[in-house]
Amino acid sequence: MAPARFGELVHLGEGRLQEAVLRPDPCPHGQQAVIRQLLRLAAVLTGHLHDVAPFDPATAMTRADLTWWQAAAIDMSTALGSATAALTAAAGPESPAEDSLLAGAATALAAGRDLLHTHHPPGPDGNSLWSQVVASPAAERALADQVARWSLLAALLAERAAAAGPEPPAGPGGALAAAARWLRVASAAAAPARHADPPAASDLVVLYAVPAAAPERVPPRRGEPDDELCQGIIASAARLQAAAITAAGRPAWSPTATAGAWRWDAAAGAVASHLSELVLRAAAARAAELGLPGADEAAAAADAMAAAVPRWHFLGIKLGQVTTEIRFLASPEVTEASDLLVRLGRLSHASPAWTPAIRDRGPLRSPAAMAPDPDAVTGLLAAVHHAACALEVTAIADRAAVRAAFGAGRLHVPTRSMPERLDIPRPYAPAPAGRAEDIDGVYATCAAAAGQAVQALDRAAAAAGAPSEFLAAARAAASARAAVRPSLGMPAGRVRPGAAERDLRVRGITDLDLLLRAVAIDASAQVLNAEAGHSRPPRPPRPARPGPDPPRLGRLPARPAGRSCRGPRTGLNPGKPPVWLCHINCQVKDDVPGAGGPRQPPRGAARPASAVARPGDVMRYAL
Amino acid sequence: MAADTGAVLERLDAAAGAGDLLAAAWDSFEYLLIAAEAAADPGSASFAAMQLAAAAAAAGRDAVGHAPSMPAAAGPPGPHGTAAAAGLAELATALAGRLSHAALLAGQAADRAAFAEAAAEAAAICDLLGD
Repeated sequence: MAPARFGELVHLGEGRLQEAVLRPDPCPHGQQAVIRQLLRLAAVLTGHLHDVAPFDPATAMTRADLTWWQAAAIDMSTALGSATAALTAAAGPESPAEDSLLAGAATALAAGRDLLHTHHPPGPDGNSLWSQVVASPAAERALADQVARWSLLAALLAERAAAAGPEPPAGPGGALAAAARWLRVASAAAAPARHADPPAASDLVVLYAVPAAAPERVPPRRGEPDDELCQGIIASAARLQAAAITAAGRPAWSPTATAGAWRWDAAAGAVASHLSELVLRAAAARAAELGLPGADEAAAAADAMAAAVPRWHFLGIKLGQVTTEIRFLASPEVTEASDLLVRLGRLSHASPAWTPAIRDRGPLRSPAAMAPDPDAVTGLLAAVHHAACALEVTAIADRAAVRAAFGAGRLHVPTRSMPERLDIPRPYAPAPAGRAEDIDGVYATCAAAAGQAVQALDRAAAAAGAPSEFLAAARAAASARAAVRPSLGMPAGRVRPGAAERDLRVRGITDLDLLLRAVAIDASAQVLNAEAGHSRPPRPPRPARPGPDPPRLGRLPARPAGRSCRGPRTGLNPGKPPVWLCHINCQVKDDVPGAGGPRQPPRGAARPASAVARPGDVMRYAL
Repeated sequence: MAADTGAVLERLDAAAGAGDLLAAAWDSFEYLLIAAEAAADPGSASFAAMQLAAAAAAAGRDAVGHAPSMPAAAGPPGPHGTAAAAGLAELATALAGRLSHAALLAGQAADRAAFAEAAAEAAAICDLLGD
């Protein structure tokens, strides 16, 4: 069975939320029932935002490395917190009847968060394609943008529910009305990020495609039907990929990093590539017979896969000439690669008990048997696509492991393979640098061939509309993943506080409101000094924080084409307005439906600092 | 059976003592490795078996190579050649038998472990290539 994907849960939750907004009676079980479920929903949305930006506002304001969407997430969380406070104040005893529609929406969106958390790795850097995707800027943009949309839906619901009861501001109706305003603020808080770093359509595609992580290995069993074989291949490929990435991150002396394991990976790569080629040829033939799109692309992918086979084979030969001081131990990569090639073999051969052993081989299946209908064709393409991605990652990861082992002096060669004149009185000798370089070069060509096969499959999947067509975007998102996902309390990127803030901190004042006002004053003073020409010489640019030139107060920084979105914003950036000041100047209100839609930020005079000194003012302005 | 395979088997049969058997086993695995690599043709139905047999042969060679009784000085290279799957399977079967037996009799524990590990690799080759 295919694993659940984030998009499925979102569709479920969002659908119920929309249904609740549009139902004739906005609160069929009374206002208290709506309040209870809105509280749950706000908690879920806040959780999603915390995953995007795991900082509290006080920590966030001292960081210089926030992305636009992380800053937006912090502002949205603050607004959701205010909505929660308004609702909590009016929440009464448990309602006898539950608003099942809203409860279902909150549960589905919470389940979506749980699904994303299955990719939260034990280590800081993750160990699978999807854990990299979940931590990528693309997923960050898409998720925060989605939360803004859900906040708006919740605001509409709260407004309707408020109007359905006694006249606000009395009682629950008043709380719902107040919560609706804060929920609108939360939604509008995404506007600056949408302007500066707009989410691409592919961001949402990648986010929705995130599957639940496979919890444990499911070994192949005899007689698996084709669709289960395809799903098994996808699961094995994902687990192989994760195992390979994890192995690459292990230290050079890891006992699982052995020449035997690398050789086995190379052999499995050759066999899996060959079996994948057979499957692709069948898919291409059937696509042509059925008049489906993507037949030529599938044939080209089969050619690319066939070209990778001799590379893997040659790599195996080269690896057969070296060894490590630790002999072959079964590792997770070996196990997953075994499952992968057994399932590929059973998919391509007419033997439900196929194994690599000669006695278990069977005849090749006909294309019509392998892909009886169009769905089967795309299913085959998707399965092989995932397998190819895993093989490429394995080649790259093993190459890194071999390099590390050589650097650690763990790579040895049989003495018999050395020139006789060396007369080494041991069976093994340290591998000469030339041998290691030779292997590294073969790995490079092997990884390149595997990568070309993956790219060919990207094209084939896109042409055929295969379920794996998101993989290209997912890999791109994963490769653009933030180098370090900061966690709460990390001092990275901390900027020296200004004079007003320093003064408060020296006096031991920790009140967030006062600190935020001090930050605003410091930022305004910086701008004032700069405009008056009395500012200190600007600091040299930080290489790690590419971003637009410091904006003048009252303007949003324009995003140059192709520039990174990282790092342009915090209230403590010299010469830059604080986060909430940006919100004012880009007219948070514009993002509220019915107000004419988002507009470009005004290019006028700055608002006086005194007008924005309190966060509450921002929210009032927005409303 | 190819003449080279016969020579390897003869050497294996004639081996006396742990050191001699380890050296003969080394040559046998080397032979299996090179022959399986040469026979691994994607156009052949035995491609997968040959690929994995080559990996197992390398693992077996390394197992005996790390045994403490392995002769320190390298001897002359053993015979190399090609053979059909059946010939290689026969050699692997004989190898597995000798090594399993030696695993029970070797004096040093590390030698016993090396023999047992190498025997397992030889048995894996039998399993892959046997009909």
